[in-house]
Amino acid sequence: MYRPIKYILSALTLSTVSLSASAQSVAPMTQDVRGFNAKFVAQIEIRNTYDTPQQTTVRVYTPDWHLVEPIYLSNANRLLGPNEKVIVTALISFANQSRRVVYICNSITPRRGGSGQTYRGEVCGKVSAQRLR
Amino acid sequence: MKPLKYIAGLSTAALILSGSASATDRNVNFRGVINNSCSLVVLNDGLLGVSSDQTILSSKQAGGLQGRVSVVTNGYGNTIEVISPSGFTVGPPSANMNTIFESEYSASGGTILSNLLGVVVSILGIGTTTIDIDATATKTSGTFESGAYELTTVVRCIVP
Repeated sequence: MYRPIKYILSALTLSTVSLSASAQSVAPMTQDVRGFNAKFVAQIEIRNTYDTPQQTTVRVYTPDWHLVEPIYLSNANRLLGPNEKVIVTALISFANQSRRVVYICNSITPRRGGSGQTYRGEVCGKVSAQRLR
Repeated sequence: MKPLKYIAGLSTAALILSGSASATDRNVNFRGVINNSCSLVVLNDGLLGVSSDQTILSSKQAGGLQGRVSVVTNGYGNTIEVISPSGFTVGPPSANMNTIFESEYSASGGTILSNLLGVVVSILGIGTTTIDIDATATKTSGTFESGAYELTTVVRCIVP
């Protein structure tokens, strides 16, 4: 009785680990951050999910898709090796608001055969920031 | 007097130690976090076919091929949308003149969707979803002239 449960638990654990290890282009997809001054910091992990090196581009957008110019953005343009991951740190202004929502988007435009049409994969993590006074 | 004091002290300490050793259970907690993630992999780019009257360039035309993207999510709340091209990235000077762009997508696997316009935002199920995408450029007047054409469609995974 005990052994099967043990095996199921092991299998579940393994499947969870493999899912998290192989399936991250952006993580986390949502996060809440707080800041005491006029700026806040957010971090996401981006991963090249392809088996070839890819150029990744990170941009920050408002919820209505206007480009935000961060005060600081690490690894905004980076060549990542196959399955390589990197942490992106963004320092963003509250823009005189007490709450601000932004999307930090990681995009890759790979070449996968075909001609005439390319596809840009874009994964966006949502950051909800609250200013504490 | 002194030996008595030491004995009393030792026995008190022994009582405290033995009491604490036998009556205390401690929990050892383990914590782990799996971040909600979304992964996009373009499996293949598409091909644009041309209509016989040269007014439509589309993956739906003869000789065209849909693009295919794989999406993997491990949590609820992720959505997908396909943003139509705003213009050709490669093409003759007249390529974007009087031209409208559209995209459509269908999904299979973890999420089942059929022939949705790109602007429609769809909730993704957990697991792997395969998305087949069509892109179309249509001349509202005139025709496409000869040359190489290329357009880029954006597939976006997002938590609204």
